[in-house]
Amino acid sequence: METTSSKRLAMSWLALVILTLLGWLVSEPAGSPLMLNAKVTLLVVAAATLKCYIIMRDFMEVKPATTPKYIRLFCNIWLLALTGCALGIYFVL
Amino acid sequence: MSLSAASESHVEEFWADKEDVPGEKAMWLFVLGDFLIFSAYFVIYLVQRAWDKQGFLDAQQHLDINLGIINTIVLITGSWFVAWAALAAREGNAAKALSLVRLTMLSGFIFAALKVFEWSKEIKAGYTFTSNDFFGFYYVLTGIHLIHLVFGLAVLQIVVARLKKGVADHRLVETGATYWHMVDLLWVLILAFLYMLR
Repeated sequence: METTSSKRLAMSWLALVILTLLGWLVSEPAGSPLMLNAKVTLLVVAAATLKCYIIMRDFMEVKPATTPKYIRLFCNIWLLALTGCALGIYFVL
Repeated sequence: MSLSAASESHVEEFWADKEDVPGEKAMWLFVLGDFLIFSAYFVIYLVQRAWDKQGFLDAQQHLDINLGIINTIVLITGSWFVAWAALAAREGNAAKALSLVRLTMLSGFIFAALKVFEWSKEIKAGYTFTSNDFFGFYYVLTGIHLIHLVFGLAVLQIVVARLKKGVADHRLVETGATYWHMVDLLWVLILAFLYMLR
């Protein structure tokens, strides 16, 4: 079984931290009241989806060399469906 | 290659593929099932939110996003440690895996302490489970997540007990890691949907 290297794990951790901080910067209005903002919502959901993908791929090892196809398919479809639902509900309802 | 040999090779390939899942298959079944259950919670929350966007946003205003961000970094760091522990266990290094799993548990305790602190802050400010729909969802989602985290700490304790005996059981470490990553991943979504959505 192909294994993830510790360097790769460190890079993934760094990417997750950076995405978290970017999401915080985008969504935090620095003391002013929160306002409805579709662009911020889109960015926040996109960042969360990317973070989930990184966690699944690099930490849970949901990738071709280590995980069966049916689990990879399930995880990817689940993540896409949830992201689609979140954005669909926000923009359509 | 004859037809029977080809079909035999496909069967072998199918089962070889199934054997490659990191950790126990039963844990993966549980994790994937939990993903579906949490999806239902999220969709119900998002629909309720869509019906009263401004009301939810006004209530959301009272959450401490800084604590949410700190907790996310704490949990992500724990996930990194436990993924690293799985690598160490595969290399047969039980001592290194043990240290890393203990650090993961420490991240879990810090997360739980910060979450309890955050809840007490909200309750003192008058925002309880019954204050409004947003806080109802907030306490239910973060509460169910915290129960998962506490269960994860118990799973990691089993991993620690095994590693303390000097046995680098990589399958067991991977199983604990898979569960812990699920806790991490669900929190990433809770942070986005409860704290950050506008």
